[in-house]
Amino acid sequence: MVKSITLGRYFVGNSFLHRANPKIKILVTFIYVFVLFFINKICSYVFGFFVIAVLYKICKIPLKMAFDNIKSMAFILIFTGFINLFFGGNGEIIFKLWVFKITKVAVITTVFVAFRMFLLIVGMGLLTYTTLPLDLAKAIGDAFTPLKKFHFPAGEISTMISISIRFIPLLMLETEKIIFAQKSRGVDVSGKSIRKKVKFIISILVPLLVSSFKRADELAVAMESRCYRIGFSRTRYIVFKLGVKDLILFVCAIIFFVSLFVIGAFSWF
Amino acid sequence: MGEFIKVEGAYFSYNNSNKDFDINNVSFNVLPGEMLCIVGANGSGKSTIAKMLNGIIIPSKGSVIVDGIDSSSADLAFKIRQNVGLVFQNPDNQIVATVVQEDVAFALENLCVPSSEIGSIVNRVLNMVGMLSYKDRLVEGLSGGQKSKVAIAGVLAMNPKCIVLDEATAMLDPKSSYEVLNIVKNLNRKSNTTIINITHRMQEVAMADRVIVLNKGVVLAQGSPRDIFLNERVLSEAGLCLPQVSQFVKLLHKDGIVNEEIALDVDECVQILANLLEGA
Amino acid sequence: MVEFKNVTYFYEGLSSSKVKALSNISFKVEQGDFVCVIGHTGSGKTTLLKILNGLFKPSGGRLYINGADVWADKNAFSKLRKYIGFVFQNPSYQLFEDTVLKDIAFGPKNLGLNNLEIERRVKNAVDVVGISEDLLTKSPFELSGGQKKRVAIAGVMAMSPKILLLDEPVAGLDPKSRVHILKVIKKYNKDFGVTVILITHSMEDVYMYANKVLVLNKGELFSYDSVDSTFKCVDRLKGIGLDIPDISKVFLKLKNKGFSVPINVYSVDMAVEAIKSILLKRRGNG
Repeated sequence: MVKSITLGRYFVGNSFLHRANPKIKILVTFIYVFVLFFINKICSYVFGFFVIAVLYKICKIPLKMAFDNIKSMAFILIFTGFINLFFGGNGEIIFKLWVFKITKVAVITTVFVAFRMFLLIVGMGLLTYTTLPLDLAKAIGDAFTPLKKFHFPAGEISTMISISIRFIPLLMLETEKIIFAQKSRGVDVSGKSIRKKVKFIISILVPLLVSSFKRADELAVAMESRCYRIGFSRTRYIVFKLGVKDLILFVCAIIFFVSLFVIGAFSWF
Repeated sequence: MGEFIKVEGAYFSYNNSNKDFDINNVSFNVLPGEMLCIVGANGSGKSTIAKMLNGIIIPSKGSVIVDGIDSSSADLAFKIRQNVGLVFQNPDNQIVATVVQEDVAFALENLCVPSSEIGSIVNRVLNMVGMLSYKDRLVEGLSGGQKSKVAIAGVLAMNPKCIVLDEATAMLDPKSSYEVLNIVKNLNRKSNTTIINITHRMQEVAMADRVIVLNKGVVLAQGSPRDIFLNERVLSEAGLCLPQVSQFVKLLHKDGIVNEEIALDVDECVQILANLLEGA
Repeated sequence: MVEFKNVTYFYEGLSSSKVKALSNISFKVEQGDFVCVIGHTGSGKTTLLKILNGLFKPSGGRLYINGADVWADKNAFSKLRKYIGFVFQNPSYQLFEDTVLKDIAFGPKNLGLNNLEIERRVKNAVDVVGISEDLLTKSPFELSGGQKKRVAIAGVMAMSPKILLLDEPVAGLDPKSRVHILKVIKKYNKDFGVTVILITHSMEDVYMYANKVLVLNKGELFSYDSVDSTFKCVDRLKGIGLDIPDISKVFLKLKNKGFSVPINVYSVDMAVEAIKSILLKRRGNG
């Protein structure tokens, strides 16, 4: 349980996308999501999917993993699709039953939304499969840096993120140990009555909280004694440097996005 | 040569009720380059003293002067922490980063060392603790002993003149604690780093140049390991047990078999017995 | 009593590979034994205890308690927790009630006993472990490390197990608390005939308190024998990199220097005896 969370959805590999600067990857993904909302031609969708499928191939990530993702989100997709279909627009009615009516516009929007969601999930997958969660979080933390000018504690936030990543697996392990300890004291894990359930949860939560506070306390002392001071500037050991490759990646991505629009403009469906 | 750390008449209490002091009029000196041991039972104030030595805790009365700097001068506390590195019992609660080398770099980042210079320092200190090949590893996958070494490297990166180990080996298995102690001993010998080892393992006490025995926040005795090991009153009052070999030689001496009153370690004990068996 | 028969245990490692933690372990523990489990970090000691307590299911082999196959007999499994008490290394992982007294009573309450019986057991455990009266109404979080450990042990003893498992019960404690807790466990073992299985790194604890020693090496059973027989071959223990008592080191070194001394000496008393008898013999000859 613990291990699967640490590794996140990262897929070990050494492709150009794996090695690319996480900041650029996040930026490109961000633009991609934005672009998707303005695309409304099936041809563009198909072309987009084709390019992404090729990228999966290059990164040696089985496409199946992307589809698995969609499976796990199937309920939300179907639900939004349903809402769209029945309440999604006025105009020419092609089907009517009691208060439910389906319009032509609604059918089209539903299809588009379905395509968009699909491409969104598959495309975002590319980011999370090729970037370590740790690097991802750091890049997000770094994203706050420009806000320093407005007295925003950007450095502190990125330290916070990095500490959280360090301690989440530790706390999970600790929870497991506490559950073991209380189980051995005869706690009824499968207790039916609410009172028993509450007792079980308290017997896990209290030691977990106490130990977390103790950890936090010790960590604070340890950090202070290693000269950490809040509100002072620090240097960074590992900085994500932008290389020529990252620039090329960015340009390629922009070409891809533009071509999506171009294909859209020259096709009828 | 003057003292490196001077603790003078220090008082401290965690509760504000001034009745029970956790640290009660403690005074001692630490000489540069020495290996000092502080022993005492749980709750004798050892950890509080450790935090006083690098300015995390400021005594409510009395003073702690480190390398000529008074720990109560807030703007220089930074300098003291850089000079006196603290290593704690649980490495999990002092390692900040997820990757080994990034944690070692933590103090350097805080000291605003330029990014380009950090790498070589990180490599050097990781090499000193024998963890260079683990540079890119996740901290999570390391054993307790390896984590302790990373924690030591993280402190060494500040290039401190003194390292305080606060029961740093208490939770380690014998092999790992032996390795950690070896690292520390080498630092003491090769780089003349002052070592203050806070412990209740008497085998470690035997290695020290000098021992301070704490009991309920008061300095009970100071002296060489030999003096302390021979002082029955201090041992029983502080609840300390002699290492096997020391007990052994003490018993032989009592029965008039050997002249030596005590042995500090295995080698000394072997030497005493060898002399005895050869002579007989 | 307790029997491991060809027990193997795998756990899931990175990217769902199987890692062998224990392989083909077989041994028997009789009622009333005091067994010390020793071995390197990562040799499978804690895993062994967790299997014994039914927290882990063996990947292969069988665990018998009183002759019943625990994982085949539902009835036996449900009794397991009543039968076996487990004191984990870190007492803070189990203390949670607002008073020490309530915390000790938590285990017996879970067993569904009546209040009178709970009270009797708690009182008994408090007496055995030696927790002073004034601590009972305190919060367990205000206690020192040594006191917490005592409360944790009392909490498990109050469940009146037939077998008590302890994972490094004295690690990190000062010498005084160490000796106190180990003596309590030994007394409990003697007076109530409770089987004790204890993990430790200290060889001195082993010969002071145990009557049997189980040595694990890289997930395999290295030896399972009486204290005397185990320490007779200290050089073998040293061979797998285990720490041996300092006294044994002294006698091994003397032997290597060419002195004719016994090498199965591991306690201070034995050492004094050994030296005296050597001297006596020489005097007799001379």
